[in-house]
Amino acid sequence: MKSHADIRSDRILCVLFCMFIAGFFFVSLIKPQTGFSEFENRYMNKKPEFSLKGVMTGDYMKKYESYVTDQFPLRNQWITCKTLTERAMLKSEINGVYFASDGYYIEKQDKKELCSEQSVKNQETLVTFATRQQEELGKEHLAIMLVPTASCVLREKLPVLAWEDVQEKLLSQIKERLPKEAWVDVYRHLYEHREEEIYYRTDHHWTTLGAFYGYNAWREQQGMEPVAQTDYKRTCLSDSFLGTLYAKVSLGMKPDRIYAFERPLGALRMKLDRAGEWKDSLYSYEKLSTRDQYAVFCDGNHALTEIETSVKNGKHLLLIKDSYAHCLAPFFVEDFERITMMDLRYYNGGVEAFIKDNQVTDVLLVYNMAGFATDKFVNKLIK
Amino acid sequence: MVFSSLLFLFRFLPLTLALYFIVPRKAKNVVLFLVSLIFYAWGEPVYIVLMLFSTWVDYIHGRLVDFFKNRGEMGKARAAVASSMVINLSLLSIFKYTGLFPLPIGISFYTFQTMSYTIDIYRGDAKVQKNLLSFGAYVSMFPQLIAGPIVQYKQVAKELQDRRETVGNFAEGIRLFLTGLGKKVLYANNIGLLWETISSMPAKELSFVMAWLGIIAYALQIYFDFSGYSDMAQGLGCMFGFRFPDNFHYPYRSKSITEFWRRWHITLGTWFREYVYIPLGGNRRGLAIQIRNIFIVWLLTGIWHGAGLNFLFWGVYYGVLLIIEKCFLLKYLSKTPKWVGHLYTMTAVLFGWVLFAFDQWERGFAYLGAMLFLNHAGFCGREALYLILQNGVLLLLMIPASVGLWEGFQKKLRNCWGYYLFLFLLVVAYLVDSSYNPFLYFRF
Repeated sequence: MKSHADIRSDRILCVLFCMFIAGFFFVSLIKPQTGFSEFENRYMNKKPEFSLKGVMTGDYMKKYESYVTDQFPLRNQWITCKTLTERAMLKSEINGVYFASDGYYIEKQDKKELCSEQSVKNQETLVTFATRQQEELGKEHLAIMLVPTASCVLREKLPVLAWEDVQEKLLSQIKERLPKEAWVDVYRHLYEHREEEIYYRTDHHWTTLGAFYGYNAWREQQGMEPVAQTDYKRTCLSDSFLGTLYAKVSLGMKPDRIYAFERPLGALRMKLDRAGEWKDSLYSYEKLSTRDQYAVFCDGNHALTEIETSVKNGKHLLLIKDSYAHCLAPFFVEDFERITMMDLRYYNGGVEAFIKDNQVTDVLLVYNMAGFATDKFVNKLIK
Repeated sequence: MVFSSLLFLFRFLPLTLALYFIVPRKAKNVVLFLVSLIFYAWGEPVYIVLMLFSTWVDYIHGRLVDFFKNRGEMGKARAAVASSMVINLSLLSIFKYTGLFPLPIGISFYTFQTMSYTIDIYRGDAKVQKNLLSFGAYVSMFPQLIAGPIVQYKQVAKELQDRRETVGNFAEGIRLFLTGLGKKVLYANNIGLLWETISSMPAKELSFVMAWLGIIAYALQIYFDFSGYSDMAQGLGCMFGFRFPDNFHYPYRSKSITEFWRRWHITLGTWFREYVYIPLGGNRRGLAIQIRNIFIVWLLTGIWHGAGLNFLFWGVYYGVLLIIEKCFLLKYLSKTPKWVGHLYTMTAVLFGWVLFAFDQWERGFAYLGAMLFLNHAGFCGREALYLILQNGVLLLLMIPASVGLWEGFQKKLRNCWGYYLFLFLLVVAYLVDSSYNPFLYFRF
């Protein structure tokens, strides 16, 4: 026979359970749908159109399920709740992000992916491309800069016993195979300064200070004297940057600061994509009010970004890159008359044809090491 | 559709419950039948035809068997039973073993259920179901449709006609359902990530500790996943006023393989015993026949789990172990300290899971090599230590849970609605941010 307390707790449980599932059911029906999630930096799945064909093929059901998950009310708060639970279970690696020391989130680079077939193919392509271009442009006009990510350079900050990061190995492997003069030893420069803030704590990019050391590594490769930090005016563009790694775990962290390194210069202008309009700054300050504040540098990803400086030396740099180059590019404005940034993920013309048709004098390739190993568009280099 | 999804929890379930409890008594089975068809059609809409065909054919056969039996024409009744078996087994073979079509989800469960129906009518253990819709509700009943337990018709015949949904039942159903959901989403999925990490590494690089850690993770994943599904099925059944049989009873507590199979996937074992082992003569016709019967049952159990050869060998592996135990090992084990039995059983089970987990020979053998220290990849590298550290708390919760050490604790929490609410909140958090939520029984 059940006691009164039992019956009461049965009732409470039934009511709470039904309210919970019915409540979220109704709220998720009436809640306005999120289109682009700045937080996760992707388009969220929306409610699919009902069609008989979609139902018959099962396509409608798949889409509907993604929609329910993506548009679930309080999505970010749920993710925070999950991260907290994982932390309570003493996990220091959550959703591919290390909770590293000194308040760093560091992206884990998966060994398997970094050593995948794609990675081998990309290395082949790079060697072919570099050998060809060195012949075309001349030894000192080609530079390859593969930037190791934080998990390689800041490995001392990783959780106890964390798996070995393979980027260092990959870098020396690629260095071996490339024409010697083309290699920019950015890894050594960064590693020497690993105690400084060269990577964001909440984002997967390097900071402008990191890019500054990258620029000096390039100068070294070019046989030029290094520049000093004091040669630049450091401006803080934002003190509220919470980047992609923060979004993955959705757990509070001191925001990062974004700096710009600038020098008094003559006029310069920048054009985004072929059809874009010229503007007279390399910074898109309006991006600072969005979640992806890093896009303040050169306005983020574009197929082509053209920069014209006030230097008159006839040199035209083609900068083939991923987003690591965005905060690096401003350092080159005193070295070249024209800089064209090309993103192979979006640019569909031929690279070699572009070099010939646009009087390119120098080529610099900038990718982060992990991104380069897994990128699916690197083969466009030799197409 | 699977239970461990936001779609099920916050669309299907509220709508189903509302509809079910609004309609009058007479229409409840119809509602169950209809929502079950939608549940089934969600993944592979075409196969709804198969489900309807199966329901209709077994319904007719049940009526036929009953008809002939009542007129005393036992030969014809037997023929009808045989015809039902042929059709069900053909369906199962065509869809499961020819590889011509994608496998209809749950087919191994519902064909077994409907076969038991006609046989039970013939044997006089069950009464015929004259209402096609009620029969449809039994065949397609969504709580146990895709991952068991295998509910025999006679076990729910009475409830199908006349059942009572009460607050007490409903609350008990919620408890079971949430417990199962927690097992699946919080335990199985998370430890499954560990298994996935380890099993996807080249086996020649696996250190000794890593290999054992991996297979222990797999053993935990499959237990919590499968028994979680069974709990959820029982829980949902309870909400609608049904009592489904238990499917797991702490199998990793066993001191012999014989005991293990009395605790693991109980409804499948029962099914084979009642409809294959005993009709073949069981243990009443001498040791030789008994051994033959055990062997046949375990061959069938193996291939029931999937079309891959590895499942066949997995079944035979257990058949052989059980025969050895019958012949002499059990007697010997009863004289040794308990821990010997536990150690022997768990070792045998873990090696069994290697057979079960790899459908490619080379990979399975390479993995066995790592477990036996034959691959010279070291005893315990830093990588294994890191994984132990990262999953330490989880393992410390799960290993005792798998042998029922927290049972007393859970009993105390039975009346604590806060605990169940907390469990539900955690599950939802993990489902919203789920990169890994597999359905493991797609091959059954």
